[in-house]
Amino acid sequence: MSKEIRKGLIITSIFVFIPAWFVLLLSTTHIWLMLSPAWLGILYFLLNFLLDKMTEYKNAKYMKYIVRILIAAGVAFLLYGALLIIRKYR
Amino acid sequence: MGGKTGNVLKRYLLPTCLMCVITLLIFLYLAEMESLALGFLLMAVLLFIINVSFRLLVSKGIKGTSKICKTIKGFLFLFILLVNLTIAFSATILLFSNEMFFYPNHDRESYEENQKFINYEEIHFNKDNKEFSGWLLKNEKGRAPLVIYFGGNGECSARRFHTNKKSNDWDYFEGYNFMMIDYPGYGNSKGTPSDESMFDMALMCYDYAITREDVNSDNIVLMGYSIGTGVATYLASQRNIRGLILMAPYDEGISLYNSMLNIFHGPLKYLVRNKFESVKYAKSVDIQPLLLVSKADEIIPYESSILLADTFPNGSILHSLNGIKHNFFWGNKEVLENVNKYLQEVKYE
Repeated sequence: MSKEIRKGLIITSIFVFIPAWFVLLLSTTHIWLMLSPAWLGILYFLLNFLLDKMTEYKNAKYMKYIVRILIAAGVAFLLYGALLIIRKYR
Repeated sequence: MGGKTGNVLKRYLLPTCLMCVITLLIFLYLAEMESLALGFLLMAVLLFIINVSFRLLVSKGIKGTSKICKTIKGFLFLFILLVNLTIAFSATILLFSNEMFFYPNHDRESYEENQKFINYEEIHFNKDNKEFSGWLLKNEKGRAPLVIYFGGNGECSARRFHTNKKSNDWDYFEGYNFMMIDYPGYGNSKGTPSDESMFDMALMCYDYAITREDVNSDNIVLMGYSIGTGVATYLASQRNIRGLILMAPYDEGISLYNSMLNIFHGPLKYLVRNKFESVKYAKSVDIQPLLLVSKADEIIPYESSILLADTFPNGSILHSLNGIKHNFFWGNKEVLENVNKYLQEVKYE
């Protein structure tokens, strides 16, 4: 990936990430959901680090992207499940 | 060590940020905020195109490593950050204003309770593939005058009818039938709430009411509370009515937005999607309405109500209340007595 695209992507994702978090903060009153972008950030950082250390994963160029997207989507479903549970027992 | 940490950060920052964004967008989509998720996705594409084009232009246009080149690059970087911030902020407010503004809700317990009363009729009607529902209180036999009520932001018809029954508020509507249809997305009504969809619903509601055999179409009084005052004022400007009662009215939707988040001034006013321009519609209302306003209202500024009161071409009956908070208009004796007095005065015999 070229340097320009990489840097452009970082700035873009930061400026999408912040408003999405703002919306989340105003949409829920549950502290773990409100703080989810923070702990998700740490979790994903460690996950990427660990995945990168795996030799087989390191060589699988496209697999990396697919695995990352699948994990991100899976976590979104888990968060939604948590939201439903919170709403049910509130 | 510092360099190593920096490299690790650089290496994993992008995938981490992207994964977080993907998770948040999918989460918002699942949590019934589809328009917001799609809007953010479009915003991301736009920002990506802007940011990459900008970086390509800068790297190709400014090639030197001198101090001036670095300063120019620094300024341009700040500029692009500002552009990103403006787009992200504006898009968020535009996209989130509906979510932030409306509180669609339904009260199933009250709905079940209401079924037991013989003078309550559940109403359903469809027009142009839009489905609406609500309740009608039949106070009189045969053709009777009708109050069409437009509720507040967190109100649904089932709860209003249930509460009024419990607190005997119906006593003040003697001689009138009372109808409340839920806004789009509220109660059993389908759709998404917005000023336009609520205005459409109001017109359909009136047109439906005058086709009913038990409604005296010469004696229709509109009543609105809070956000519903904007809807009632709009309908009053479009159809023939006998009276208009506005509880906690406002001049424009911006006043309501500012009561939630006080930022919509100057150019930020243009970010407001639901304008609810009551002052504009009030100019076309040819009857004298009753306005019930409170200085202690924490949601609708008193000045905003007064501004509206002064706009009606035939004047208005303004009743200022003391110490009544926004959520306590219904159930207040002084308010309901004034409503009753006005209803009896405007009744066409």
